[in-house]
Amino acid sequence: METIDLSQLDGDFKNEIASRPGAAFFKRCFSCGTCTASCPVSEIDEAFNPRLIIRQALLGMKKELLSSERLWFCAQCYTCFARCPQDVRFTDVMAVLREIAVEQGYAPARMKEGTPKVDTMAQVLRHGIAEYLWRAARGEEVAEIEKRLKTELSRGLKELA
Amino acid sequence: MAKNGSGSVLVVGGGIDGIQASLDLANSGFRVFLVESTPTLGGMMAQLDKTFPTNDCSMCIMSPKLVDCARHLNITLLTLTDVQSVRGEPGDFTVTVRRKARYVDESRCTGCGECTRNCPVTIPNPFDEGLSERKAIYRPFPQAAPNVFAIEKTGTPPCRAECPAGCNGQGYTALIRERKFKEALDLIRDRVPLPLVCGRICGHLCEAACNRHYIDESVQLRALKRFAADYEMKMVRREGWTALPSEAAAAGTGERVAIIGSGPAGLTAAWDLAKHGLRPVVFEALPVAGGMLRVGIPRYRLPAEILDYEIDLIRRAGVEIRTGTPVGPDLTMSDLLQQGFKAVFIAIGTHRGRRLGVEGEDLEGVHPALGFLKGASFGSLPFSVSGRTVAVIGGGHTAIDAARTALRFGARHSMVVYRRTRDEMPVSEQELAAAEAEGVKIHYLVAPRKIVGRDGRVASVLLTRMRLGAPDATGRREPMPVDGETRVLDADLVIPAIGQVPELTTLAEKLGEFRVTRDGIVPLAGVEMEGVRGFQEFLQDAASGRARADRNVLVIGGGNAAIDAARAAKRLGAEKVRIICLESRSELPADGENAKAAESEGVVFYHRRAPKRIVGRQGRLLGVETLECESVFDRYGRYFPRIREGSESFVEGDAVLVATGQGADTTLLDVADGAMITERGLLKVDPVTLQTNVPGIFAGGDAAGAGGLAVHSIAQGHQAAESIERYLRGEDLRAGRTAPAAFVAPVPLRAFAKVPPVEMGRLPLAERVGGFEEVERGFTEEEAVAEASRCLDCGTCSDCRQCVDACKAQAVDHSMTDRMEELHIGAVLLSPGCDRVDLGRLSRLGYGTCRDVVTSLQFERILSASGPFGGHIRRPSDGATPKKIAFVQCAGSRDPVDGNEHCSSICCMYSIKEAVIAREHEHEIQPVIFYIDIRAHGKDFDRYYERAREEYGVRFTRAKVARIRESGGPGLQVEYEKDGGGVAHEQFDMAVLAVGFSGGGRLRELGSIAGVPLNRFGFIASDPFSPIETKVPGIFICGPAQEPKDIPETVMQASAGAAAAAEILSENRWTEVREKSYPPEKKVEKLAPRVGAFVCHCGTNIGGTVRVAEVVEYARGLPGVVYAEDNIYTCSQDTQAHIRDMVREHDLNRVVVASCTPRTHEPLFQETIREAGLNRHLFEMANIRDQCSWIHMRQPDEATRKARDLVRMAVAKVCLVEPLPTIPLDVVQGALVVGGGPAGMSAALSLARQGFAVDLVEKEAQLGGNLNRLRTTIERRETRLLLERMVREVQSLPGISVHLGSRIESVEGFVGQYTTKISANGSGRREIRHGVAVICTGARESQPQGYLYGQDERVMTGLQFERLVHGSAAEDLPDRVVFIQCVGSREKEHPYCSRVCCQQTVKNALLLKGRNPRAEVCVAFRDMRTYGFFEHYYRSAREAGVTFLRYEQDDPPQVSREGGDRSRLTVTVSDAQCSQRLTIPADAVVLAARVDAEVDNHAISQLFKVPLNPDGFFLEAHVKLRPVDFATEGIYLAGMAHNPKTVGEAIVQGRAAAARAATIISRSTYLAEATIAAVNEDLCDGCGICAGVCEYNALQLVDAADGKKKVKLSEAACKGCGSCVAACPSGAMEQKGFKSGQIMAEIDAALVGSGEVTRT
Repeated sequence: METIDLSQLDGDFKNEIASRPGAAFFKRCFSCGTCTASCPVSEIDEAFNPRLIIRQALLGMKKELLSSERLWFCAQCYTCFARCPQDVRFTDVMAVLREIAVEQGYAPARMKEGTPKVDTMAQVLRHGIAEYLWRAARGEEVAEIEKRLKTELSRGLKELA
Repeated sequence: MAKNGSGSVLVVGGGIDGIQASLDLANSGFRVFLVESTPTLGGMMAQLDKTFPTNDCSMCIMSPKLVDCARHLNITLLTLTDVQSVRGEPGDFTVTVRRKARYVDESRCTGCGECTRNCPVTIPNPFDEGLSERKAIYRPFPQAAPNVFAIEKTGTPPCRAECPAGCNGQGYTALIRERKFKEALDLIRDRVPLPLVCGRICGHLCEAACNRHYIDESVQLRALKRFAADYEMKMVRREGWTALPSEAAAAGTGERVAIIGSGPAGLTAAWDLAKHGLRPVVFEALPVAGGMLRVGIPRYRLPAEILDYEIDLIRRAGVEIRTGTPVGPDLTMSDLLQQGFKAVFIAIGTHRGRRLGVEGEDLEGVHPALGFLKGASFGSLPFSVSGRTVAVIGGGHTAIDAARTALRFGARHSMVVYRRTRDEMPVSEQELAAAEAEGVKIHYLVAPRKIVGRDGRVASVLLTRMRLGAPDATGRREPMPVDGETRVLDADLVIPAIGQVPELTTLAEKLGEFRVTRDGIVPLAGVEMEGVRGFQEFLQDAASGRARADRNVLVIGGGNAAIDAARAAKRLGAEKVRIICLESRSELPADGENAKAAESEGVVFYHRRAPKRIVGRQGRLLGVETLECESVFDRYGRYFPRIREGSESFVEGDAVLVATGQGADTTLLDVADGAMITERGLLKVDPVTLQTNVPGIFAGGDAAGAGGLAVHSIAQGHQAAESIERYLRGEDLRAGRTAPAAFVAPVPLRAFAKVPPVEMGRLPLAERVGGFEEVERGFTEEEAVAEASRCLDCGTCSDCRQCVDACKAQAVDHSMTDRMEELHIGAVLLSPGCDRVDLGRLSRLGYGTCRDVVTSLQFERILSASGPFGGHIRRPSDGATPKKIAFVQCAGSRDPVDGNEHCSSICCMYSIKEAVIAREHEHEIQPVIFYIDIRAHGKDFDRYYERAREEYGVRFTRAKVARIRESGGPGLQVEYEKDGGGVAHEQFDMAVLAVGFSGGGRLRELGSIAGVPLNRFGFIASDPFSPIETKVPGIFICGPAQEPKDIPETVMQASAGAAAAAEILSENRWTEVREKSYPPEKKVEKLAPRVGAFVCHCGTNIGGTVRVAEVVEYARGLPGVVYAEDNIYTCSQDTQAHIRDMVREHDLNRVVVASCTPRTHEPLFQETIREAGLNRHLFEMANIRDQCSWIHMRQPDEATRKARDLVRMAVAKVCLVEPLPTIPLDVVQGALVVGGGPAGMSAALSLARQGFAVDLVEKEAQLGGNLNRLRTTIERRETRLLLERMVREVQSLPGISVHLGSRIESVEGFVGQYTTKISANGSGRREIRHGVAVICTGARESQPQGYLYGQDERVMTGLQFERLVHGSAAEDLPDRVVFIQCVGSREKEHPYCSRVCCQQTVKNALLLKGRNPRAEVCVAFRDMRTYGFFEHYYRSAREAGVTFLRYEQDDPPQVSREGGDRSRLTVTVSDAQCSQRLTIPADAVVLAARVDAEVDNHAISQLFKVPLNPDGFFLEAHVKLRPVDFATEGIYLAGMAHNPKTVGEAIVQGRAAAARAATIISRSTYLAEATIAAVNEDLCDGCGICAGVCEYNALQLVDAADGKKKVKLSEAACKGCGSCVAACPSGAMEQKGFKSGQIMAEIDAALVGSGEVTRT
């Protein structure tokens, strides 16, 4: 078990977060784990743990949190937001953390612009893949869709890069 | 306090809190009114299976209290009662209560349960939380108190409410479902004397109202009614049943009443009058009885023989019917009155159709084209054309077809008459050419004006020349007649083929106009012509066989009369029958089934057509011109037809039946005496009484505008009969008859599966139209039962009255109504409990969506041996035993988003208990508890938690469940955070949701009635220092309504509530109670036994199996028995009086009752014989119900033999029993209170306020105990103020003597008479005499071990920190503080939770943050146990920025001073929530030190001989239900001496102890038990074994005269448990009432064969 000196952490970080719109209630968290258990990202990537993110924020692990790539993994699905018994509003807290990360130079600004693009692209691809699967399952011609998806993907990746 | 006020208390709510409070009050001199809204006491505790931490059966520990409470002389138990208003002030309140009808007379009901066997209505059983079923008449559970039944009525079912005659649809449906067909028909006949008829032709408004249509389709009530009636008719014919209901004509005055008209109204009135002993005579103008039923309804719907059968029954019931006897000129009403008829009921119906016909005849030879063509296509023409000259009128395809066809059938000439030119003809040129080639001659620009006949046959056609005018809307030029230019065309057949828009003016000679009005379609005068008839006339003709067969019949109207006419016409041979009606299909006023049947028989509907006029020519009807009807109803649903002008179209027909309205034939009334005022052609009557303007003359049915359906007339028949009877008795006709509309029951709140209606058999179509055979065939038995099973039982009780018949005690009374009562009382104690979390919000956790997700209370029932599965653990979906059960904590608690902000306090423990018990039931079950914090904060709870984990292998998983769903097949998928992140999807067989308590709801309602406000959590608001007081003086609160809490805390608050009420009413103690006085006891010791034996049938409960008469006969022959008898119910009130009489009459000195169980009934019979002057103990009971009729239900011989055995044993014993005296002991009416902390002061103050002398002993030099060490409470209340207030009152109240710095030296005596010696500071001894003692020795914060405590002054305890925060300036407060929880608690040596520390830490953290906002505060905890409303402060602390770190027991925080810099204090915590070790610098470390029991407790325990638990706290008599009592009577405990608790809780318990103490010291004498032990000193060898086993300290070894030891019994202390008797090796101990000789006699009697008795 790693040992952390609490005095080396930023005790004021939690107040900094809570002072921003959307994160006013995040200190209410009592670590019940409903958010994590509801999270589709946690489902596929156990390292992404909303409950732990709140914990780290409360303890003041600012640098570690804001420099983490996991900050950008939240899919903004709002399931945790809806289910949280203490109304912590994790999805909004996540947005606040991203904001601070960019503002204070922990993350490049393009991440902030890029993630909505990722969301949009994911939706487009999802739609296309569903169509692809549907048609393929019915034995229809899918080469055209496949081609279109590949184009879409490479175009999107280019745009993000 | 309240002089001259009341000595009564109202207790609201009969849960365990209400019961406890009522008993305490009633046992200390107050009258109690206990109001409970359900039929029984018990509340939620009655539903529980076991209680933690002792695993006692909840019902077993509770039921003695239920019995005590229900039987208490000074507790008036008002069940099914709600408080409506509370007015007044302390000592003088007026409370209005609404006593809801139970429908069962409590004083008569014996609880035998016979009624439930007869009840046909089964509904989900709320006691089993819907997992089992019960009947509409029910007792909530077998131990219910009062132990009587109740009937659940949830309103009038809509079927019944909607029926004009009030026929009980739900009732007969329920009975049919139970195959009680005869009973069903009897119930129908109650309101409908013509069930065969109504079962066929009723308009069944009931079905339209049936709630089932919200689910799928209405129950087919009419068909069910018919089934019941047909069934009886069948059984009468086949099996020789008696047709009429058993109640024959009642004796009555025999007065004669004339009824004019034998329709449904007349027959019903006659039936009612005959039933009540009057002599009705029905006068019928027609030669047959039945009125409109006879002549207005076609036979295929109502066969004549059915009507005959039914009318015959009415005749046999005492109704005389004189047919062919019109009342009119030859028999006036004056004649009737002169003949001795006392009243007249006119029910003449509406038999005068608005007849339109005039003379006229048809011309032979006019035939419409379509019929002609149709005939031609079948190869057989309806008439011959051969050799005829045929004129076809029209220019379309039909005309040309007809002309050409005519030629093919041999017409001599075939001509076409067309009013336009060839160019306008719609027929193709080729076709025209072909026709002309075949010889068809076409006349253009002519229109027929008249068809001229000769000898009744067509001779020629008079034509008018036409010219073409301006083009019309279609662009074709309009033909215009050229005046005066006519020509004659010879023809002997005319075939009109003029299409949809005929030139009626030229075709027709007669037109009958209609007008569409607000009341429907009204034919205007002058439309009379041959072929147009009113439907009544038509149906009458049809019924009498006089009807003429028309080919093409048009019916105008959309009601049942129209459809009946149409269907009858079909049967009379009409080829084509069409109905013209305004309404669309769905708007038809007619019965949908009737319309459907008509259609299937070939009747065609022309919907949304308004007849404009009937068109006839030359006395022949041509058809009806119609207009389009755009809508029938306006937007408000009112009848308001809108007709589109210019939308004329023509429907041809050779007969028109007008069925658009009826009128009464009132001609007979012209000769009646007095003036009948008529209005719209109907008789005018009073709507309530049906009396006309002439007294004694009543009118009803259609003639008085009843409503048009037979059932309306039946309703008026009943109404008239009632009026006539009142009239004849000279009573007010109106009184009580305008009752407000009944509450109509909505759809019951439960899920119903869709079940399609049962399709009734019908006559095959082919066989229908040929004759008048009945079309509907009725249901078979199976079909009827299946259809009846679709009923939703909307009203719950079906009012079928089967229970009335079943109840031998005549206790059922369906006529009961709710009533209001006023009570005058001095104080109110609210103990209503609270609601549960709204289950609707738990769908994410699978509630309501997954069948195997149940609530905790449902699981309690599943565990219970008396529950739905008999104690076997089954999951609801398939009844399989689950292997893995998830217990889901905080379902709606600690969740202000989806439920409640507060913690419900008890769920953690009940879930652990349920898991443990489940595992005890089925060892394979693997329980898993998902939780956030385990809150085992009660006494001994942590031990239980540990045992669950260690011994029972219950798995505890710390995670809040996010979702539960079904995973395809059986089983559930539970989703929660996996250890180390990610989502766990774990499979379970079943899940139990720990559903918590909720405020609001019922509490808000009660709060507003009582005027007491609620707090932010929705519970009744009270002060933390005095949780019993509401904001309104004189109104107190206890139990979960104040805050969610466990049973012991509830019981404590209840007793404290009783004390609070007693405090303000103490002046009036004993003023309103009743004391029973008895006759002196008869001396029986020297008398020979004279035994009376009473053997109970218990309805059929015993008598159905055991041959009771034989047992009585047998008992009569037993030695000592001088009298024996049997009783239907030995326990009924009247039997008690009878037993007393028999005791006197036969000079009985012993009584035996052979009935049910002594557990419930022995005290009743003992009371009865005491009232008869016998000692209570000269009694024995034989349980021939449980032990004979119940367990040998199918072996009557054996059961009877065993009953004789049991009676013989009871008689043998009773002959030897002796009267046992109760021993009165004097009571010193004062109390000793040991300990001057908050609990002790609270107890002392309460007792003193109640007027008792109190000696308060405190070992310290000042009062206050821990109050001296605290500063504030978590609610920010200053404890100093409380302390000052309490001390001031203690010092000012005259009854309290305070002994400071004093210790107890010795205690002697027993309940009522204690002598205690105390010494002040080791000197100055003092002796105190007291009746009772309350031990409140408190507890204290321990000295922590480790954590550098004592080595560094910055490490301190919670109390020290509290002093520091309060005592320091803000700038001196520490900036970095770490709190460490569970220091010394919940560990191996001290395995208990100190309960107060979590909230104390939260309080201190908030306090610090409040005073020093920049402070960094961390709390290291194991489980945050901020139970109840404290959860709110825990949340506030997090919001304030306090960091909570959870550590595991095996890795506790370390406090250190770092090596180099010794001044730096560091705490290292392994935070289990982020799996990291944190080192935290601290300016102060606050240790939540364990609460230790006082060391003095050991000494006190020995002095008072009361026990301690292993932790050194005092051990109460029972952890759940006697939390302030010791097993030893007269000694009580309160405060931290019992267990760690908050100041508020200690104050409550102190007051509770005062209430318990008052039950002893409010009286001057104490009655000791009679059935106690006795010592035979001759046999005692002084071994002392008995003294060792006595729990009550009643036995002591003393020195006997001979120097030996002997044991001495303190009779006052003995509880009669019998332990010493069993333990004594020498036989010196005997138990009174169960002496060896008595028991031996019983055994001897058992061993004698039951055939003969040899002992004497």
